[in-house]
Amino acid sequence: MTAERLLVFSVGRELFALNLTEVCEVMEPQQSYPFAGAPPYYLGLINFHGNLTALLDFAQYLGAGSRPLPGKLLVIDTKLAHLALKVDAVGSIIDAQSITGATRSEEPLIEALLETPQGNLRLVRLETLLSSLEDDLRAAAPKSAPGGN
Amino acid sequence: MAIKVMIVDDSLFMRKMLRDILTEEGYEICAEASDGDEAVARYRESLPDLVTMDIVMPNKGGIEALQEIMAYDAAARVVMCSAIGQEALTTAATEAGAKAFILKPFNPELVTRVLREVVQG
Amino acid sequence: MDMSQYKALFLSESREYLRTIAEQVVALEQSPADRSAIDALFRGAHSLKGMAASMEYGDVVVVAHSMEDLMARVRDGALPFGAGVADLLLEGVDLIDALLQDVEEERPSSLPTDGYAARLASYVPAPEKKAKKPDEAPKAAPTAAEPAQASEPAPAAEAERAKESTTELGGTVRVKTELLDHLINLTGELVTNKQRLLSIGRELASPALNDAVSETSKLLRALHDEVMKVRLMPFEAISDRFQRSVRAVAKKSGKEINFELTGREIGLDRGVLEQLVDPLNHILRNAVDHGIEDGEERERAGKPARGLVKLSVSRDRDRIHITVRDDGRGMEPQSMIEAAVRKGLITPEEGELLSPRQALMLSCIPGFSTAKEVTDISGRGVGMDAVNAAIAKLGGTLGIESEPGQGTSITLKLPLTIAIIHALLVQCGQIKTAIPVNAVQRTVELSRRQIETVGRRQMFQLDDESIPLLSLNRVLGLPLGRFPDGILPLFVTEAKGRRVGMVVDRLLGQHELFVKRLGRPLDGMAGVAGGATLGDGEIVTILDISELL
Repeated sequence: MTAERLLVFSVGRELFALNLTEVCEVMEPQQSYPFAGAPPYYLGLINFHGNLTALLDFAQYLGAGSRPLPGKLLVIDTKLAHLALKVDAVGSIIDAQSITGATRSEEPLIEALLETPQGNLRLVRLETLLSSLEDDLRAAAPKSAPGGN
Repeated sequence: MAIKVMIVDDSLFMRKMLRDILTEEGYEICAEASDGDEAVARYRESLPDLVTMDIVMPNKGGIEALQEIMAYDAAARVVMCSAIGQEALTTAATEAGAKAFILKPFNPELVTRVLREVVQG
Repeated sequence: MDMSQYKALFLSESREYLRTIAEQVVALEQSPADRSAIDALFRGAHSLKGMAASMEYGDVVVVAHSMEDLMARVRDGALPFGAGVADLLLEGVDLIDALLQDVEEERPSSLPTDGYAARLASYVPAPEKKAKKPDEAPKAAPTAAEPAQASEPAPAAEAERAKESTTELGGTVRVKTELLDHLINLTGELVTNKQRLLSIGRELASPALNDAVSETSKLLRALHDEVMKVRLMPFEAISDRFQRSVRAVAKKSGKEINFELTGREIGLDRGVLEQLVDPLNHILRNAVDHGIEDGEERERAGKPARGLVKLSVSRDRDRIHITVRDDGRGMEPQSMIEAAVRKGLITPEEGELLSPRQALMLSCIPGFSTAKEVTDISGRGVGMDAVNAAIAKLGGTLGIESEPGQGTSITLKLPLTIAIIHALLVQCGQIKTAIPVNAVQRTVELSRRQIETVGRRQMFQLDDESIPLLSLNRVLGLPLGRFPDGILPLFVTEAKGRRVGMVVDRLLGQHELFVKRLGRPLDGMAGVAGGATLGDGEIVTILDISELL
């Protein structure tokens, strides 16, 4: 399925894109509340219109290292997930027609490498991101500590 | 293997919406029909695992089509779909062998849940 | 679902229907008895209504719905098709056309539709001899336009109003339960807000404010209870499945079983009911498969050849008790302990400390039994860990009683409703988190002197029982607390059938929380049952302690 419009954002020195229909809001950073038992790339929980939403430091998740920018939050469509990605900056919305070339990517997370007038974009496969986050959570399930206190 | 669904509805809009909901859920839409006659004919050709059947349609209504499909294939799994106002026909549809009844407008979650229940028997 | 992608298709197809309706109206004026034209008109209005409802264009729904009802009266012979009807229908076509124009240009509709709907509902042809009183007219139409389940005698005008308002919301019983969910959400938000008022009241130390908040609190509790009652569904909504599955398992294992069900009329929350199907199926299957002996064995034991499995549901104030009782071979606590020791789940020393009740609960430990190796003893545990976890998620508890040779009964105690729970709030490191009070037996502030070290374990005495200490910080992977004043706050909970003291940094007291799902991906996180917002806006996770340990 080819997306009609893509939202371009940057993390580290790379440009990424998400299908616009998968993003429901771009927000300024807001207070998040930490929670236990999850990998460190979760910054915490935020309240998005009453939905408790996990905030993911996308740079840290990708191993790109966090940049000292306030950044932006991309809130994923609440029907798909309760997840927001903290990214460095959000660029423009581009039309699928302006894509001049596409190559497949070796990384499962990246659906395709797109050539556009804005530069080369890595199109994120949201479902893969969600299921690998779920896998990581299962793997990180806390184990009962042996011994006492 | 994906579950094959036939969508029967006289409105293209409704068919498209349902098709999108079901495709998203991993179902394979193997046929579509816009009235009862077409539904019966398409059913024989494509033998879907599941049918979503509108009730109010031209030429041949959903209940009649349901009866013909059940006569042809007693194991057919047909789910009736209709907007408010046709609830009185629920009993007739159940007696004719319908497995479930979904009210329009379609709520994607409800549709997928009902279909899943029907598939799982 | 994003509906905007369907807008263009909706507009073009709706206009097609409008054209058809207009054509048929004109055709019917020529030959008013043309059955197929009447049907086509009815269908056109019906389809338009359905499509508009999907797009949530309430005004179009109202108009199309009234046209459909009017045509249903014509179709059913309650109303002759005359010039008056034709005029009204064509007026409806124009009205919808204008509404579609508004939709297309994305401007709010300014056209009132209520007047039109009312006129159609009460329409009677003027010159007809057998004219009915206007307020009886809509009832004369046997269209069953109201949802069958919700139909109750109401004055026609009121029924019409109700119909319109439900239509705007989507108009079905199923959609109404969504509305209920929304109501519950709002009630939950109000509870959260009340907590906020409470803490402001404490800061301000204003007796007047505190009184008002405590009154609000009572009202909220009442509101919550009322809203929850509407969500109750009788147990029989799911019980027929149990009958079927018991019969199937009995047949497969070649056993004769009487299955008795009592309390099918008891109401449970819709959400709780849905979550109960699998756990109860497990318990029942285990009872038939492993609890009930085969016919010969039963006769040797002097029992009737037919085994008995009883499922009973009862209500005890705000809790529901569900018991599955069989008259089978029962469970032997000592054999349960031996099996658990053999599997390395507990040490022999631990086994000796277990009471018979705790020994039976060993069957709920993950790993106690697997479907692959089913024996008389451990077979009873098949899937019981999952059952126990599912019941705990619902805020319930599971208890096992058994008399060897006489049978076993498993009792689930469940809250009537799930959305609002009482929870103990604790601080661990930088994190606040909540534990449902049903998982908390008591809280204790322990002095270091009271801690005994037994091997590698730290224990303390409570009610003459030696209870091991665990650190919740450690379980959650957080830095350990320091306790400079030598006092360790802890709560006592049950894990693997025995009591454990969970040490935290601070106990922050009991709170009323409105539980929310975390959604993907955090839903998949072990040991977390959901989240909640505190009065000051802070978000905490709600722990599922039994899953964590």
